[in-house]
Amino acid sequence: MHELGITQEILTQVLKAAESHQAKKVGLVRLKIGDFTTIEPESIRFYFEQIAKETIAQEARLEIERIRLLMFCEACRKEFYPQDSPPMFLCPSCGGGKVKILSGRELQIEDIEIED
Amino acid sequence: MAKQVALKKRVDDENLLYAEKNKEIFARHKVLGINLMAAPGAGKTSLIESAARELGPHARMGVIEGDLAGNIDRDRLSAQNIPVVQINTGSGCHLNAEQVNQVIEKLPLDQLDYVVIENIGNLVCPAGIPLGETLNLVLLSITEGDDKPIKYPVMFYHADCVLINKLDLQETLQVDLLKIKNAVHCLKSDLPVFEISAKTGEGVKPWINWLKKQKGK
Repeated sequence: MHELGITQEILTQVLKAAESHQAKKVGLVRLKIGDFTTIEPESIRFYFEQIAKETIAQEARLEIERIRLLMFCEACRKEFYPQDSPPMFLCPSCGGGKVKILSGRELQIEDIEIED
Repeated sequence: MAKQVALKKRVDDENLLYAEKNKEIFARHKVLGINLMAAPGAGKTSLIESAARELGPHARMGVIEGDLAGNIDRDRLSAQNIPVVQINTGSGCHLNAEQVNQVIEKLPLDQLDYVVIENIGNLVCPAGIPLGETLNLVLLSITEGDDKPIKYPVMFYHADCVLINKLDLQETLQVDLLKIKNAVHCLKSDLPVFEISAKTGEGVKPWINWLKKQKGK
């Protein structure tokens, strides 16, 4: 259910951008979705196909780029990909917890391709 | 002719906008906003009752109740003279900041010190969705087992404090509390964890003392 609301918001923003360019059709929508969100890309595809029917985006292809969770240790000044199973977000070099997320929380519409 | 239009826009922009509005409202009324998240049945409403009792008459807590349907929790808290408003999300699996914005000023904010937003019982969807809170509080009960921080890292990572509830059942359940805490601290090493029983009040005082300090910040 979570993804339905997100997909509705994606469609709204896509249609708004397309209409402001007097587009007749949206051919492609590029999204970035981080691994550290609670968003399931396949559900986005499923819902998009359903709710875009009878809009100018009904034939649009969704290109979804997954972004891995990347962290940064403030003590070592090093980036690292944390172990995900079981999750371990402490720095693999120093074992410290002064870390921050650099990427992996994206939920972004990058661009769209339209035909006018 | 095909052409590319750049958007570079976060999908949840609108939620962030409402979250900021809510944050301003809380700040204006000097209220500490708390987003309370947990699985169904973890004891969120019992925790609120227990906190209100421990705070006593000198600090008041208001509540925004989130449920798919019904007013059970609203009526329950209201009967104890706790100011409360109810949001019903229908099929929505988490609260969003706009829903909170629509009811927030129905609470007597000038008379309150804390507002707890009791999110929908769910360890997945509410994670990382800001409502305008200052604190994210994640409640876990020992009846759920000792593996939840491992299974739901996004939720526990976004917590500012974790409460382990239903300590009154520990003698029967013999849950490995250290395992829970270690799993939490593998996600965030400095996360405060309190063991409590909302039912008996055991351990609630140290947590309330911590909460009062957050209010003073």
